[in-house]
Amino acid sequence: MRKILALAVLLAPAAALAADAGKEAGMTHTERGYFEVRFPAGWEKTEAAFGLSDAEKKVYGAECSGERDADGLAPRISVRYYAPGNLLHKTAEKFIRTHSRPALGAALDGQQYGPVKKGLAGRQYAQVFDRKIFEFTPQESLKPRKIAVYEKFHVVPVKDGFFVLRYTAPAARAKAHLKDYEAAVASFKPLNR
Amino acid sequence: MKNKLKLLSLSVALLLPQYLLAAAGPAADLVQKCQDNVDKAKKQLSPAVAQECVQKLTGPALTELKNADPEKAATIISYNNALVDFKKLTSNYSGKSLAEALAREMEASACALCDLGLGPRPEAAFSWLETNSGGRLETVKRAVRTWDALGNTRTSSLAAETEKYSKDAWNGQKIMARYERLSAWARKNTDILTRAPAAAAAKPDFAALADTLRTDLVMDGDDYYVDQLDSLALNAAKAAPAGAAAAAKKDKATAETAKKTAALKGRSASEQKDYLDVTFDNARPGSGVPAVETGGGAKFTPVPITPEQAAQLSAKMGTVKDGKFTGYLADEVRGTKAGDEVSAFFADKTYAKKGSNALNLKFEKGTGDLAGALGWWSGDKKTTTVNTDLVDDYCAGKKITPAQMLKSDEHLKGVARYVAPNFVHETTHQRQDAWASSNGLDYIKYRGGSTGQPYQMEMETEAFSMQAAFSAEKAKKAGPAYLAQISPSHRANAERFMEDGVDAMRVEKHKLYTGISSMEGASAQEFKKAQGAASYVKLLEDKKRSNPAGMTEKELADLKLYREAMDSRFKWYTMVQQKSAADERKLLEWREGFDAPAVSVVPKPGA
Repeated sequence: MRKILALAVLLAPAAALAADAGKEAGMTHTERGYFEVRFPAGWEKTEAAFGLSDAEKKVYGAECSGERDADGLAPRISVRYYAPGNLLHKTAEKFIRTHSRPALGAALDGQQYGPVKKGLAGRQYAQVFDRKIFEFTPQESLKPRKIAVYEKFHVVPVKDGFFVLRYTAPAARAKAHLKDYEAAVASFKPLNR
Repeated sequence: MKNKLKLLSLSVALLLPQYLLAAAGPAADLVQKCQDNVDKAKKQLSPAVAQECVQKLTGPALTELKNADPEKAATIISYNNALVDFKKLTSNYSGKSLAEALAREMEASACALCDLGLGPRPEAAFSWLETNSGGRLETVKRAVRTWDALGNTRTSSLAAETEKYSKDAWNGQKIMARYERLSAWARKNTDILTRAPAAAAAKPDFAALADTLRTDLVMDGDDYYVDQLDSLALNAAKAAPAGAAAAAKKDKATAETAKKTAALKGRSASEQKDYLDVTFDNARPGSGVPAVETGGGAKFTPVPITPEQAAQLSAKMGTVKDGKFTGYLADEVRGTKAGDEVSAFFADKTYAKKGSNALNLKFEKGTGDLAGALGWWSGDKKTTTVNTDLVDDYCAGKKITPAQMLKSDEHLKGVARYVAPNFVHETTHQRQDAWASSNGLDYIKYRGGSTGQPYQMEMETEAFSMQAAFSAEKAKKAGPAYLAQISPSHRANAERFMEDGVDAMRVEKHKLYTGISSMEGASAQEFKKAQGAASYVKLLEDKKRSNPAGMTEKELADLKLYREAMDSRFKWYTMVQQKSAADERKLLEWREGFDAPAVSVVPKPGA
């Protein structure tokens, strides 16, 4: 009984957030058979580039972005489902390992990685972490400028595969759009998993 | 009896012309759907159907169609690819990047979009974008600097210029000509403000005007004028009463950023890194690249490498004799997946017979268009070149002269390590050319001064993925010590590849190559260019069917020639798609093996 109560208390804020998010204008994206999420109003969906298709990679989802700044960087929110046997990240644990700490084993350019914590994405148990990384512009230049980028992740393991909700924004604008990401996270609903 | 009927129907089928068979084939519905989608009269032009056509009209279905009716096949492939590309460009880009991409596709001599009524001026596509772009019309309008999106400040001022611009006259210009004209307008107005700084500062709308001008100062050589505006903003902030200080704060912050950026100019990469560490992160300078003591703390002035020294360096770095790749670069790349592919390429006897795998390595300073390039492969000259700026940067970072570097085994290894990712990248381009040549896909002869296969973004995607895979594997084997010895750009590429795979390279690097079409964009252009040849082939084949005796010798020769030309293009289209998919799968598989040791970072339940 106590367990059920604790769970209800834990889920209550998320449910409230989801309800609030539903009241705001936004666009609901349904990735058929995988998940439903509400992206911020006014943000625009990006298209997958040439290359292996979602079905070939076994990674399904969508990304949308807000207004770009003078450096061409835009805040972005993506939600993806990684099916078993996908070509990108075999397990949720591997995804977390690759993104929550330096992917090459050392952070020589000032990247900062936060701890992995427990949280919720919609009503789902999630592993949550954030980090500060850098973009170099112009790319492939001996004289690049370093632009700080903030990222936050919610990784939701499920029986078959896992979901990743990801927020990316130039650090200077990250705080302003974090609430948009949190609203998207609250609206997240896996389908048939 | 049944068997007799079967034999009869088979013989009838064999006698039927191929184009009749194609019309009745299993892919007929798909072909019709794809043809209808790009039929201007039917006004469909659906990007979703176009995507389906590009994905599904491949393999035997495409072979059947192009054999039966090359003209129809070329039209379907060209226009559906153009729609897919257009949808992706307008969804994924904005600002000047989008403007450059649309100029590349809409103002090309072979503009497939134009045939569909979606160009050459972007305004022709606004109605299509309103329906099909998912709300991106305003973004596109701003990006292409259409008259209605310029705002009153610009339009009233431009109408008063010597050209006396009107909406039609303005929108009649090419996209980048609009950017050039706005840049000239912004420079002129910045000069006016600079000549009377006190009056400029007193303008109530100064901040808004400065923002507008900055938006237009995005062309080469505009940095000076941006600096002028930033200085004006600073002075205006100093002179402003306290209440206005907040309004000027934004401009001041912009000016500060510009100052920091300006401070990077002329510094080496390592010096820049030190500067950035201190300025933005308060990190300890020089933590990334270990310096070499010069003794006695004497001040070191970097010395650029001479052409003679560069030639000596080339010989030491890499040569191939009897298929064996030797030198410092050979040692550096050996034992990695990417490096071993490079060595195997140089040893390939089939390529050697054609002379397509010879290594002609040069170290040269990039000038003109190549000034900013770290390396380049020339298919015409058959040379792989590394920009000596990289070598100068290495020597400056180590505080040694090129002469000292050339005498030091340790520093020659260091240079090899520093430039190896670029070498892997450029050698990948050489391999792409050799592959295209051996498969007969190098059908471009002296187009724009170039010969070979059509240059498109998948070639860069593979080259960047190969160099990133190389760096990632080296990092896995040698650890942080290796990472400290390569440039921040190479580190960043390897990290992005490990985190998000080939797609990260494909998407991020296209921003660097605004002059190159995606595979879809290149396909649209290639088959648009081939439409004349395709029509001629159809005409001759129709005549050959209806009046074989009436074919002249020239017509027979032309039919063979142009049929082969069309076949080369369809072969290129099919094989590049297959190669791209195979490359991506291979690189993702390699990446799986470069993963760091499996240490759990997920908190245990209850932790």
